[in-house]
Amino acid sequence: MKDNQSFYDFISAYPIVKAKDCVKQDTIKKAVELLSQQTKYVGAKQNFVLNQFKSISKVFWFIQFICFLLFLVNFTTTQRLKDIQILFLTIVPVMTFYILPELFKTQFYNMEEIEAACFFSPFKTLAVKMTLVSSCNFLIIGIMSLAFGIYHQLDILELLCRGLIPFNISIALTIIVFDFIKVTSPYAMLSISAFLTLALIQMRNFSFLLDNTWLGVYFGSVLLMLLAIGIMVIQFKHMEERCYGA
Amino acid sequence: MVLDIDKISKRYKDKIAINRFSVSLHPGVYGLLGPNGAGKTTLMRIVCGLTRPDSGSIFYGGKSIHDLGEQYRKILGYLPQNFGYYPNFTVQRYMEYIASLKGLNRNFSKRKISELLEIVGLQKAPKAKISSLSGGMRQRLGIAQSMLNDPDVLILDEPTVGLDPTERVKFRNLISTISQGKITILSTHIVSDVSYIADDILLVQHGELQYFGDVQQLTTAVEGKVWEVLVENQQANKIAQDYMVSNMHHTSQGAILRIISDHKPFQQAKAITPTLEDAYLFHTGERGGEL
Repeated sequence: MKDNQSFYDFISAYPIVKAKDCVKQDTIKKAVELLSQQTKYVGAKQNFVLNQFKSISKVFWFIQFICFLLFLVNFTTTQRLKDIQILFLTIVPVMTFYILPELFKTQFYNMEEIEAACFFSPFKTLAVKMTLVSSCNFLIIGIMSLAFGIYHQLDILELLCRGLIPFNISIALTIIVFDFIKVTSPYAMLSISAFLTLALIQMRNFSFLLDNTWLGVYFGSVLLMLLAIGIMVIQFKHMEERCYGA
Repeated sequence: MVLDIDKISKRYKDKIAINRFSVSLHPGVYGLLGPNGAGKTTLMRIVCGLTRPDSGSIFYGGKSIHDLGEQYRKILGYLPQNFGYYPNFTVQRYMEYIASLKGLNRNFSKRKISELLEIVGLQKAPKAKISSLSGGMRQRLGIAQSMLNDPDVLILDEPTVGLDPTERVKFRNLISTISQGKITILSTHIVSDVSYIADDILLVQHGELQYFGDVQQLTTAVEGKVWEVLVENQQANKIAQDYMVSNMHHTSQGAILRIISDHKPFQQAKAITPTLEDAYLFHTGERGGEL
């Protein structure tokens, strides 16, 4: 058996003065405050991403829903690879239509200054917003490819790549417009976005997208998107040079 | 912690917005006064890190705010002159959104939001759309968002603009309460606001620091230089062109003018106690009487 007597002797040598309940409560309150100050940044990234997700406008989700509905309506009737590609070239530009106004939202509603003075830089905010909306588009394209692939016994990876062609081009154009065109009116932005969407839908008439050169076009579109992202990163680096906040 | 503004300059094309501006700020409320176009907003934007100066630096706790980056933004609270919001945002949602941008977690922000809404008197309106709030309520929301991260440096750009007198009094009291232990810079051109709550005054003109010190010292500098005189109503405008007139009051007996002048402007003029407004006009050289 352990001999704890020396330990008890030791602690009883320093008797603790009994404190009043209000003093105890005060100490507990101070400790809670201190703890909350120390832990207030724990889980901040998740909260940031969640709030960016929640701030995506309803119009964007409505468009995604309409596009998905369009896919469901055409699902059984679209059988040939060529027709699926045409469907992709129609639905995907519509799906990405609202990305540009969503990214410009901060400027339209004069939130720029407050956001730029916050902990998460405008670049991080933009990157997260872009990732969220693109991921949603990507997910829908993925579902469409998977469903077509399984149902019509087609190569799913090929379908996914074909679906990503208009997506990549659309994202690249969105970033380029975002970087180089200063738009302050939401109506002007919607017009530009509508014009881009209509232009992208016209890709349906490009036969090279429908035949065997699609893989080359796919890699070309990936390069274009990477180039646009590169330009955006450089632009933000320049902005960082001009101000601390970015 | 000390905020050191060290010889900062900023130029926009051929206009000098800030010229070798230097000041050291300790915790306290600082009123940034100056006429329109004096460089107040540029200075505030530079202090917030939204604009980079052409030369000079700002140090917080001995470290450049440029190097501190997000660590500086962590302790910064900012209320811009015209702050925006997404149209669908409610008060609660707006606060949650800003809290997330400020890098706060959900639990902390939830508690902090209800605490701040109570302080600013918006505890009954968390579900109200921001677009439905009055100007004063919106400004109070602006203050609340700037306080979410318990900032050590609080920058308020023209917070009382557009508020009615009652709202302004409420707002001044609020700022006074929340700014304890912080470096608070309050930019305004409403002199009376500053005289009530600021510990020290930064008087800016043409991008340069004209005066830095307390309100008392500033008014002492114009003691014996403020005069009151009763003149005929017809003469009043003529006098306003020749002298710096801080106030003109037309009565049936004539016009009572408050003149700022180094020497006695008229035989019948009598010296009066200067106010901060007089001192402001004296230092900036602005003529209150001119139209």
